[in-house]
Amino acid sequence: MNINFNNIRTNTTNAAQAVQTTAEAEKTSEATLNSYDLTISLAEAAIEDIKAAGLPEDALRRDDDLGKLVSAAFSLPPPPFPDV
Amino acid sequence: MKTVEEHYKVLAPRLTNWLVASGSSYAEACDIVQDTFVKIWNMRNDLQEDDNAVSGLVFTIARNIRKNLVRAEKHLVLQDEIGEDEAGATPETNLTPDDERDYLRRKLVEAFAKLPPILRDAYTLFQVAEMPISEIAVQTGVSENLVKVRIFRAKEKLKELLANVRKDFC
Repeated sequence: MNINFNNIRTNTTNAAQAVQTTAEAEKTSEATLNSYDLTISLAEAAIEDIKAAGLPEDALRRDDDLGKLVSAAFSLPPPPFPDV
Repeated sequence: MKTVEEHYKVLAPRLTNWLVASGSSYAEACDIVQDTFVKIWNMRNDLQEDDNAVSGLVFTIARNIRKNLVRAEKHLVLQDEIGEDEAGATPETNLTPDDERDYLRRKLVEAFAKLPPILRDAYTLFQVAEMPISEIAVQTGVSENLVKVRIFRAKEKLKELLANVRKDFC
């Protein structure tokens, strides 16, 4: 039986190269994904800033009609200080 | 540095009312407030001087105590559904101011329960617990701007949910 060692060597080398190429591609993909994540986070933060900047002036008042209603309803007295 | 009693004077009313706004009964809220301050008393030598840090710690302990209570009692803290009849109900006549306040409080708790939890937390911490935005951001783990947006959204949603109730009281 004739065994072609050259073919085996070539195939093994090709397979090793394929594995290495796949590993490198995975690394590149991961780096790309991380970069996308970072970009998305920055974009989200920027969107929050824009939304916050666009809020009406009285958006964060505690003494508007609703705020007064809530404050009036939730004026329950606390319990006495615990017996420590 | 403030004593535990001084922190109690400022924080206990806010915490009691915030717990009720978040679905606890008044009796349960009082128990949680007292248990929280027993823990704070035991930690009194390790408390930081920063008032916001103490306030954050108090609210975190109270949240945890309530979580454990809920797990132990296996009951729902928040009522997720408001009956249609009840939602449109108006206050009965001949009510005392205390009755009216109870009615209003019940309606508000029901409306809070209908908000998404992230909006409910932001709004009740802001309005009922009177927490600064920066502290709410720390408590809820998001940016100050997102807290502001959540408070605004909660207000808009509450105005819709409470349209009938506000007509009666405003």
